[in-house]
Amino acid sequence: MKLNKRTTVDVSSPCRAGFPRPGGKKGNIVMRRLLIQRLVSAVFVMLIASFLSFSLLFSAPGNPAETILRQQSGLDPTYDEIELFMKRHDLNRPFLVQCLQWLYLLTHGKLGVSLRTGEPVLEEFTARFGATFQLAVAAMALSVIIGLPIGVFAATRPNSLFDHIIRIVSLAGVSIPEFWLGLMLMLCFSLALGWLPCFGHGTVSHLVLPVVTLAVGITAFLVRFVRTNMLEVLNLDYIKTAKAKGLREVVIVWKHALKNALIPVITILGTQLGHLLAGAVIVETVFSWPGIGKFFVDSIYARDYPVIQGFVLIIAAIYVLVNLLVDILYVYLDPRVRYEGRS
Amino acid sequence: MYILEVTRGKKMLLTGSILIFGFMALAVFAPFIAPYDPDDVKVEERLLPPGEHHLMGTDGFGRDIFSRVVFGTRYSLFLALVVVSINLLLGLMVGSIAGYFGGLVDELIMRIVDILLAFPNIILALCIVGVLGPSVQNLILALVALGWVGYTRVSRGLVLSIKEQGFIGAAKALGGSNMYIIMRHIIPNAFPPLLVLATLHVSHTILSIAALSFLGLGVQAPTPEWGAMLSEGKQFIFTHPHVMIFPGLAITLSVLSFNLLGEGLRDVLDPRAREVLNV
Amino acid sequence: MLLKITSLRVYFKSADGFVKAADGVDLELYPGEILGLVGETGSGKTVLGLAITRLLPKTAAVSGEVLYRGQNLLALPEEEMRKVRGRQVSMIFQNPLSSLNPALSIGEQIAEVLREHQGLKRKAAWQRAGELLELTGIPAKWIRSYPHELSGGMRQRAMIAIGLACAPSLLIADEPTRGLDVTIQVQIVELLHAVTKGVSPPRSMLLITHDLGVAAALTDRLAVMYAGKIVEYGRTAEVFRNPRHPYTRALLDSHPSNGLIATRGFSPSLINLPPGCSFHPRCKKARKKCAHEPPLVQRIGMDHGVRCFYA
Repeated sequence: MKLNKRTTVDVSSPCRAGFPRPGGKKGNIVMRRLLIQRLVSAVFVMLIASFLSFSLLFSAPGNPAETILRQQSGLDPTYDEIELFMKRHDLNRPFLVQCLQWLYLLTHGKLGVSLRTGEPVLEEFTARFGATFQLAVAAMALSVIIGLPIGVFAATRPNSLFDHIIRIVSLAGVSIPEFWLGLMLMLCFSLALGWLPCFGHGTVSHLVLPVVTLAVGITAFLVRFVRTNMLEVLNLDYIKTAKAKGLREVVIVWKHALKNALIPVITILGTQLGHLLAGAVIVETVFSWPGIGKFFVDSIYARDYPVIQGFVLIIAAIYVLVNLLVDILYVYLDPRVRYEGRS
Repeated sequence: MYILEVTRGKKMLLTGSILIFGFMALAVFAPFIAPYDPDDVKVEERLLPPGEHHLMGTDGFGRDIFSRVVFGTRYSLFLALVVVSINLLLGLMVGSIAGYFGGLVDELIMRIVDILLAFPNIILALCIVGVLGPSVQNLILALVALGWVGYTRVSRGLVLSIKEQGFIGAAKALGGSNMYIIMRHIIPNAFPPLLVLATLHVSHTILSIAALSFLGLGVQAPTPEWGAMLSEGKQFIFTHPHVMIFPGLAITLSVLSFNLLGEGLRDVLDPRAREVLNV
Repeated sequence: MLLKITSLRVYFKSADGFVKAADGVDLELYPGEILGLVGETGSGKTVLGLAITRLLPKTAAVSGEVLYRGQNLLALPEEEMRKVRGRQVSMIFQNPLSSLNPALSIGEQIAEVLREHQGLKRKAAWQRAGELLELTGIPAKWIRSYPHELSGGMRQRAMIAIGLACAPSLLIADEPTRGLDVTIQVQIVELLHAVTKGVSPPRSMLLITHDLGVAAALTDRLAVMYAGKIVEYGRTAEVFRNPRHPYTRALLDSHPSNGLIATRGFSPSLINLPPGCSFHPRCKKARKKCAHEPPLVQRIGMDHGVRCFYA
């Protein structure tokens, strides 16, 4: 560990006046180094992602110009048309040059234009992001609100009837395909019972079915993950200490155990974002939800390459960003990492 | 605690195995079990509800859904097993190399793995299929593209722990070549925990294949694959829901049985091996 | 009498049969007294400590009587028992790194006991926590540090501070010096002495240890445990001067200052105890009788008892 040569004011640690924490400054340095390391790797991931998404177009069968022209007009393009298109879009330059050119445009926020709608890809994305964000946040919130207490509760009564039921239900929950679940919910609550609308977007009642569909898998996963982690933590020595101190069970479970069990849960929620995005693609398609997932699938059907490229890149960026945030949160939550750095 | 987990693990293992055995039997003996030809179109018998002649009814083309579900077992199980096997072997090979040689090789491989792990894999799979066009080969390619990465990471961890054990040193001292040691000693020892991972992964893969096929980007329509059947039946959901119910149940049940098997195996495995899997 | 344990049995069910961790233990502890419970690892000492505070896992079958101030702790409703823990009987565990919660500051871990049992408000509890840290030799300004930021000795001091928070009349210290450097061990022993003998009225302590040096330095009386049974008890000085049980003698001989003489054989599995006297397979003095008849405790003089036919 390198020594800190600069004198820094301790701003990040939640110390109160009069109670300086030993090692706080040192911890800060480790934390900063860790974050810089994450940041560098995030930038690196984005570079690779841009390269990959650019090469996507070239891995498509046939000449990209020919493919795009066919998409635009619906007819087989003539040789001259292809030549003209390639010259106009610098497609006959070497691959790497084109790639660098694309990167250059990227740094200026230019992701190209949708072949289908003629609008810039970035605008298409931002116009639909809100709807997906709404769906994702609602589903995530629902999962945490339901999954966390159930997981904790099951862990405090291992092998009870409640625990067994929860295990079976949650295993079923992770086994149901989302698209089918969505359709079945639609069948049940819209068609048979008539309680909720099955398509459309706008009111809260429109939100219910898609959100529930999206949340079931994540909730089931969360219940299982929290349960396993809590069980592990509840067997540790410091829980015995807490009991020996005569603390109430509520305090032992929800303060002593949960505070430790939550650390890996936070991390895993970051990785669940991938699941959430994939789920959004499917749920939006099933419920005709006007978000980025549906637009993405429609673009794939239409072979709208600029949109596919752009969306992959943006989604990767969001993914990387969220994981970076999770890392920061992790460092903040676990005092051990704050001090020593993660192995 | 541990003992309780083992008994519970055994129960799950047994249930999962019986179910999977059932699905395997359906796949192998499909022609003998299915009462009709799954591709036999009979327009006059279209959209019949479940009944005496058609256990699960008929679809929009008058094909017997039960027969199609039975034959669908072949596609779902076979494709999932192929994808998982490729991933497992690829990951095991790359991971063993990284873990065994260490140093720069390890550093390079793990950096790549870390970067690939940072991608949402189903999105990339969608792109690959979307760009290359929907077909079974492209489906497999899309699911392998990122699938091997997880195995690489776990294999590397396993190899690192196996490498420390005495018999590797002994084999080296006896002049065993690197390749010989990897193939003969390291891979057989790393295999059991990886098998658990693979079993759990089969269920993920069945779900991914069904989802891609449902979106029309995987196995294509007339084929009696469960996801594709649902994709075809979508239009009848409000008028003839039975078309949608049974293929979905088949997917759920098959995924559930592999989950049961994997969970059971993990509970029965010794705690040390479990730790590695939780990486 | 502060604590009186009568025929305490703790059995664990395992796949191979019952593990008899404590098999008819009788112990007495007087106010202001430090009782040492010594024995090798796996003799059931720790289980005994946990049985008193009822912190054993649910799989343990406990029978007998643990009278604390005339009240049978084993028969107490759970909620009543909870109020005894930490307030009247405190425990100090070995390995403070794993016994302290890594996600909470030591100040919080002390203050919460005060808030629970003495109903102190947050600020008052933290104030008192700082005093307790000072008392155990940690500067109060470290109150917001986390367990991993402290040294091993500091952690054990924090652990003791937690145990002392509500001024309990009985401390149960389970191997409080294990895993510490020798110089630190001395400091912890001194601290434990100060917080028991050094307060008025003196506080009682049950000291569970395998370290005879620590036992000699701190305890008034000694109980030697072997395979779930107390095989000898008496005043510490008396037991050290005149050990009567062959096992006690072997234990003393194995101490480095006495020439590090090893006892032959291994401590028995608590599942399949040898018939008769559990120690007979390893005993130099064993005769035929020892192999099939379990010896009872014989009193030999004032407050000195031995579980051996030929003591």
